[in-house]
Amino acid sequence: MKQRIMLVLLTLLAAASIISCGGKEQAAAPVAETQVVERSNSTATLDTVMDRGYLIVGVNASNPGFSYLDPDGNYLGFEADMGRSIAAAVLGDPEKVQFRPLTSKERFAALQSGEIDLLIRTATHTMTRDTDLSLDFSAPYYYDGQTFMVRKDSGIKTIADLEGAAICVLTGSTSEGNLSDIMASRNLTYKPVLFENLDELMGAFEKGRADAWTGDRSGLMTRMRNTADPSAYTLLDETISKEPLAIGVRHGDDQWGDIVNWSLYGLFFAEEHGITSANIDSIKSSTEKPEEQAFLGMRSELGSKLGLSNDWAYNMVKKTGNYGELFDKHFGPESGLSIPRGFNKPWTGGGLLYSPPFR
Amino acid sequence: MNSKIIIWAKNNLFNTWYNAVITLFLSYFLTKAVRSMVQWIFSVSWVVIPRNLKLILTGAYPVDQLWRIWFILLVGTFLAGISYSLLKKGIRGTVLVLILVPALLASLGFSHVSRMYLLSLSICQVVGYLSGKYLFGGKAVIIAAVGWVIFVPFIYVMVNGFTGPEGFLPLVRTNLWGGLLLSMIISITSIILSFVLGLFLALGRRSELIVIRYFSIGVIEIIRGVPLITLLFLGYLILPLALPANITIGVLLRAMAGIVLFHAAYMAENIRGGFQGLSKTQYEAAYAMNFNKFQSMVLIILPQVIKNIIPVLVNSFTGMVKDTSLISIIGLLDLVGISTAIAANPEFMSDSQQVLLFLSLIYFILCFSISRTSRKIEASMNYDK
Amino acid sequence: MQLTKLNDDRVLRTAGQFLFALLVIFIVASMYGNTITALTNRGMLPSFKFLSLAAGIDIGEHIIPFDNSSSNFRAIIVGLLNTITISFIVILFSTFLGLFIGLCRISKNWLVKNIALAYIEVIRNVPLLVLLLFWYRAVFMEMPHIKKALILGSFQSSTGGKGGTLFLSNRGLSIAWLKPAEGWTLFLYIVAVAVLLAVVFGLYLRAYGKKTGRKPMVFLWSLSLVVFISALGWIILPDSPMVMDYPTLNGFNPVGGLSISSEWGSLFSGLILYTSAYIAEAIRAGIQGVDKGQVEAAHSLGLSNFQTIRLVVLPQALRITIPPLTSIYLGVAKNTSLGVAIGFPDLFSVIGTLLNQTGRALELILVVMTIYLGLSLITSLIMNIYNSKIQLEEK
Repeated sequence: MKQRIMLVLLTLLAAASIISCGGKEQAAAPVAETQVVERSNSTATLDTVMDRGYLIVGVNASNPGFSYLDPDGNYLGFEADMGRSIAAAVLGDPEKVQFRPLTSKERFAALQSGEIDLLIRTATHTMTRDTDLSLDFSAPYYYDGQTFMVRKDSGIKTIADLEGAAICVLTGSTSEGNLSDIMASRNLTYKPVLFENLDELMGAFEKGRADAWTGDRSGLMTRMRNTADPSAYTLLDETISKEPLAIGVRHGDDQWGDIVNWSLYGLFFAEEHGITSANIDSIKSSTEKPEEQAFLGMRSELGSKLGLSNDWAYNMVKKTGNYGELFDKHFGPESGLSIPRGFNKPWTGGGLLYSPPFR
Repeated sequence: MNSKIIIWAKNNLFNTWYNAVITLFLSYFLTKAVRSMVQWIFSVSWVVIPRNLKLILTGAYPVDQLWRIWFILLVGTFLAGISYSLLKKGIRGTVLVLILVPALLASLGFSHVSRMYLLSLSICQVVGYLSGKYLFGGKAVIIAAVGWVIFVPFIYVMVNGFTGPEGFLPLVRTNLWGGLLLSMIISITSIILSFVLGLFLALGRRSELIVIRYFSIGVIEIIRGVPLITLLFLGYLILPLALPANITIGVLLRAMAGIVLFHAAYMAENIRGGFQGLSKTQYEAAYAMNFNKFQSMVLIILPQVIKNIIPVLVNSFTGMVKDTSLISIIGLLDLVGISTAIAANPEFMSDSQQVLLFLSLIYFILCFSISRTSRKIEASMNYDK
Repeated sequence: MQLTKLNDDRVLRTAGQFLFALLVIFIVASMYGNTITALTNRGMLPSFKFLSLAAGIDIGEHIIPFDNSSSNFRAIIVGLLNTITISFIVILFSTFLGLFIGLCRISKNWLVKNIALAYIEVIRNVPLLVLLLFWYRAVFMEMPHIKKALILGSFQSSTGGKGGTLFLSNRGLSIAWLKPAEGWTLFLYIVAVAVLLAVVFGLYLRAYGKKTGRKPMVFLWSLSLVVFISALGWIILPDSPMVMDYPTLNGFNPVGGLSISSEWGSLFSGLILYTSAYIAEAIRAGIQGVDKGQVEAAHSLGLSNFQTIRLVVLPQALRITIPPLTSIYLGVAKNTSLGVAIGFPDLFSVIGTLLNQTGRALELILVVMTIYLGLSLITSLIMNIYNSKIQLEEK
C-alpha cells in the first residue's frame, strides 16, 4: 500500500516538474525558434519522400465521397485521389502513395510526429491550428460550411427551432466547438450527443437518437444520400461557420508547402483552362498560350523551382485529371451523390478556386 | 434408453417442485428466445459478410500477395499435424474438427483458389500427422519444437516481406495489415513478448536488490493502475516525442508497445503468484545440491513455476486477444476497426448488426478454444498428481 | 577468504544496482529531454495553464453545472464524476447479478446451471468493446423512435405535452423520480437522528453479542431501525418531503424525472454483463472452495440451513472471493474508459475531447494517468481494509 501511495506522489511530482518547466515558457521561446529552423533543414520532407519512393498521406477510412475503403482494401474518394495527384506531381506515378487511416483525434499528432507527409482529412484551416499546432495549411481544396441536417417532418426550419433538441456531432472536429459557441451565443439549450466516428453517428441519427446532426455541408450531403430514405431529410439554409478544408503539412518546411500548394493550384489551373486528362496531350502539342506552355513544362522550368521534374503538372493532370474531373468523379451525378459545386468551381464561373499565375 | 432419459430428467430437471417450475419457465423463454433469434437470422441479409470477407480477414493486404498468408497457414497446419502425433489421447475429437473444418469450408461458395487452399490446409494436417508418426520417429519432438520456435519470426517475414516491388516477397507496409490478420499478429506478439517482459519484472520484484525491486514494483503498479487505453495513447501521442528526432516508429509498433507493456505487468503478477505457490523446500533442496542462485533459478525453480501457472497463463491469453480490439480506438483497422470501415460503405450501411455478430463469433471461437485448452491442461495436470 | 568473497559480492551488487539506477535515470532523462525539445520545437512547452481557460465545448451528461464558458479543469472534473458514478453503480449491480449467476452456476437444476455456464462463457470470450458496440448499435438504437416511445402510465400534462411514468425510446429512459420538496430538510434531520440511534443500537448489540457469545445480525438490525424511523418520519411530517417528478414530452426530449441516455444505458448494461460474468466465476470458486466437511459439521452442530450459509459458508467463501473481487472492481473503473467508443462522456472521453481542442497531449495524459492511479489506490485501500477485517485472525 505504501508503495502505491509513493507512486501517486511520484506521478504528481512529475506533473509538478512539468508545470514548473512551463513557467519558463517565455524565456525559452527564442531558443525554440532557432531549433525549428535547424530541424526543418535537417529533415526536408521532399528528400524523405524521394528517398522513400512513395508518399504517405493521412486520410479517413470511412468518409464516403471524401475517402473510404472498398471491399478490396483500396482507398477511394476525392481526398484519396488528391493524394494520388500530389504523388503524380512529386514522383510521376499516382500509385506511389500509401494511405494511413486516421481518426480526427490523432490526425494532427500523426503529421507532427512525421508519420505522414500530408494530411488530407477534411481538416479545417483555423488560426489556432495554424499557429498552436505548428502546422501549415495549403490553399483550401474544398470550401465548406457547417450546418444542420434534420428530418423534414421535424418542423425545424431555423437554428432557433433547435431549442431543447438533441444534436449529434463528431467529437474532435471544429463542428463541436462551433456548435457549442453558436448555441451559447443564441442562448439556446441543447443536448450534445458525441460520437467518435461518423458511422456510429450516422446509424444513431437515422434511428432517431437525435433531432439534428451538425457538420460540414458537404459531409452531411454525402451522408444524406446514403440514408435509407434521403427524401426524409433536409439541410438548414443557415450556415454557421466557414470551413475551408485544406491540406495540412508540417510548419517550417516551406519547400514542401510550396509543392503541395502549387500542385493544388495546378489542378485549379487545369480546370480553368479546360485542360483535362483526355485532351492534355493535344493541348500540349497545340497550345500557343505562354502560361499553358509554362504549366505543361514546355517553356520555363517551373518544376525544377519546386525541386520537381518539369513535367510535374503534366503528369498530375494526365494521370489523375483536373480539379473538375476529380470533383465530378466523386461528388458529381455519376457518383450518386450529386453535390452541387457551390463555391468549389473556378473563379471564372463564379466560384472561389483561383490559381495564382503560373509564371 | 427412453427410461434413462426420463430418470436423468427427473434427477436433474424436476427433482423438486420448485425446480420443475423453474425448468418449465426457463424452457419456455429459451425456446422463445431461440425462435426469435433464428427468425432474425433468416430475416436479414448476410451478403455483407462474404462480400467483405477479404477485408475482415486481412484488411487492405494486397490481393496478389494473399498467397503468403495461405502459405503461413499451410506451414502452421503442417506443424500442428506433427504436434498431434506427439500428443496422447483425449484430443482426437479436436483434431478431427480442425481437419474437417477447412474441408467443409472448402465446399462452401468460395472462389476456386480459396477452395484449393482450404483443402490443402486439411491435407497438410494429415500429412504432418502421418510424417510425425511414421517418418520422423523420435525426431518428431525436436522438429516440432524447432518448427514452432521458427514459426513466429517466419510469420513476420512472410507478412512483412523484404524485397522490392518486383522481388520474391515484396514489402507490405504495416498500414495495409488489417482485420483478423492484424488482430492475430498483435495477439501473438503480445503473448510472447509480454511473457518475457513479465518474467523479468516478476524476477525483479522478488529480487533482493533494492533498486531493481522498487523499479519493478513501480512499473508493475503504475501500469496496473491505469486503463490500457491510456497506455495506447501514451504510445500513440507521447512516444514519438520522447524518442530522438531521427527515430520514428510506426504506429503499429507503438500500439504494440503499449499492449505488451500493459500485459507484461499483469503477467508479472501471475508469475509472482507461481513463485509464491512454490514450496520453500525447493529452494532449500537446490541450495543443498550446491547450485548457485542462477542455476537453481533456471534449473529448479523456473521450470516448476512455469508449469504451475500454465493454466493461468493460457487463460490470460484470452484477455490479450480480446484487448487487441482496443487498437481500433486509435484508428488501426483491426477486426473492430474494419467493422466500422465496412459500415461506412454506402452499400452495407445498415448491416452493422450482422458484422458485429460475425466479429463476436470470431472472437468467441478464438478465446473459447484458448480457455478450453487452458482447462484441459489444468485437468491433465491435476491428473498427474 | 569467506569474508572477502562476501565483500566482493556486496560491492558487485551495489555497483550493479547503481549502474542500473543510472541507466534508468539516463533513459528517463533523455526521453524527457527529447519530449521537451520536441514540444519546444512546436512552440508548445508543457504548461497546465490551459486548465483554467474556457473549454468552449458542451458535455452531454454532467452532475455539476457545466456550460460553454466553463474551464477545462471543470470539464475534467465532470468526466471524472461521470466515471466514478457509473463505476459505483456498475459495481453495485454487477455484484448482485454476479452473485445470482454464481449461485445459478452451482444449482442442482441442469438447465439453470448450464444457462449460467453458457452466459459466463459467451460473455467472457467476447471483447468488452464488441459487447458495448453491440448493446449500443443492436439494442439501444433499435428501441422505438422518440415519437413512438414506449410510455407507461401516460397522461396529458398541464403544459400541453405528454406525461408518463416511464418513457423508453432510443434516446434513453426517463422515469418518474422523487424530487425534494418543502419538507425535505426536516426529513433529513429525522434521518440523521435515526442513523445516530442505529449506531448506538448497533454498538449495544455488538457488546451484547460479545457478552453472550451469540452472533446477532448487527448491520441488519441497525438498518431496519433506520428504515423504520425514517418511514415513520415520512408519514408524520405534514409536508411531504419529496414529490414525484414525472417526465413530460413537450418538445424534442422528455423533461423532468430521472433520465438515462442510451449511451449511459449501453455502457451500464455492457459493463454489468461483462463484470457480472467475472464476479459469478469468482463467487462460484469461493463457494466451491469451502470444504464440504464444514457444511456437514455445521449441520451436525444443529445449525439451520440459513445459519449454515450465513455463519459458516459465506464468511469462508468471502475470504476466498475478496482478492479476485478486488481486481474485478478495479477493472470496472478502468473499463469505463471504453465509453469513449459509444460517446459516453467519461473521464477518458472528456480528456480525448480536450486533447483535440487544446492539443495538450502530454499534460492531459499525465493528468488522466494520475487520476486513474489515484482511483485504483482508493479502491484497493477500501478493499484491503475490508479484506483484512474478514481474514482469519491467525493466532
